[in-house]
Amino acid sequence: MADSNPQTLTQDEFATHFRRAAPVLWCVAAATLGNRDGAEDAVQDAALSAMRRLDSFHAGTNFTAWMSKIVRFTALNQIRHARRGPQPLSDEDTVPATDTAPSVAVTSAGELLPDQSQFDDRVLHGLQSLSEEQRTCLLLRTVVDLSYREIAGMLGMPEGTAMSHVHRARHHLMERLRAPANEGTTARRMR
Amino acid sequence: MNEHDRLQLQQWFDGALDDEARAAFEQKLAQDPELQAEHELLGAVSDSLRRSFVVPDLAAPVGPDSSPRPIWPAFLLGAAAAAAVLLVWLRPWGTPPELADPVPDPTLAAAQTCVAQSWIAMSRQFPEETPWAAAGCSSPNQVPQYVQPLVPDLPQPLVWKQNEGVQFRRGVDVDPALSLRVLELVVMPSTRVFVFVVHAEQDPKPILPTGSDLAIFRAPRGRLVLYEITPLPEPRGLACLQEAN
Repeated sequence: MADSNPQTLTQDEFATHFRRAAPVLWCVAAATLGNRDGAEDAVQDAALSAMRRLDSFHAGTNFTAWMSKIVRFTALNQIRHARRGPQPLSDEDTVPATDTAPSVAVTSAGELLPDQSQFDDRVLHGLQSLSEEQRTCLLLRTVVDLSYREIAGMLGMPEGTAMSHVHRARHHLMERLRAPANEGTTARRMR
Repeated sequence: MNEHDRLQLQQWFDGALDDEARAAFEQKLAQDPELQAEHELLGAVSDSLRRSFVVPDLAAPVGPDSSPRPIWPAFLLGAAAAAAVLLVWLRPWGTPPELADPVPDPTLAAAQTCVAQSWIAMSRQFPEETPWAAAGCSSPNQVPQYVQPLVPDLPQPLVWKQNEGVQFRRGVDVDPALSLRVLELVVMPSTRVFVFVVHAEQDPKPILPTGSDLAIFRAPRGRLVLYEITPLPEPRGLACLQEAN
């Protein structure tokens, strides 16, 4: 058990670390899942899982990196379970069908149109088309404001790679937002 | 605008430019409409991501109040042989009362009236841990549109109050041949959420996982999908984890 090994975490120590890391872990879950709805569950399940094997954590190593791997695996398991299960009703079953991405909310000059939610939909839509790594790096940089060094340390990649993922992700999203609205694929909202 | 400008724009957003480079970039920004548009768009994208991904406080207590936990454990025991079907809605009877009004006092008879046999429909099996998305909704926000047709008296629109006492989680399913009857009725006064637990004659698989309490039904015809929800009268964060462990 954790308590018998001074090199591992006690439950109280785990709680302290977890509290600090929770926002980052949530972002990792959201990025892996591709949406935010199941992220909280994934983090909770991962935390339960981690607490059952605290002895696999080595004191002095990066707790957030360790936990984020567990969160990611948990989120991937969620996805696998979902795919094995019955197919959910698609939005097309419940929402008027559209063959386009949410309509443009930015003018060619980059000016924001009033409908912010439409713009947000388009951004979320574009986020789906990023790779998981790009999405994770982008959310960690933008949402929880991690430095590239922190992202790199957490995800086990060179700092330059983390930066490159973020830059490419931003560039990709901006390109999509500049493109005419009807160039998207069938809209499937993340929310 | 060239690649160098684009790179500098990203570095500017990251705060990675030194003073001299930043001043030079900002001067160029002030004079270059194309760069300004790019700058505005990148800012809008970042703002949008922050709006869309508001990080919940996972370690903070989430629950309606400090009232004692209701009789959920008894439900869990009963669930060994029961399909928990629930109907959850807010202020379900009559005109939605003002918040200051007392919550209507529902009765078991009312629940039995609400849960009609005709709601039973075809079955669909779920694997053990099915995210709610696989149960027919692509968003918790879609729950109302499934529930709404079932209960004409529901206030319009029905508002699903996630994190206000209940947590919408995942679905299970029951066999259409099962006969259901209302077993329990629970009111969560602080959230004005009403929960019906409906007994099934035999165990619909999968059964609710340990630690879960309830589910919500939908669909008067076609599939009958049950949604498990977990009440959150206690902290959902660390306290839950420690307790569960």
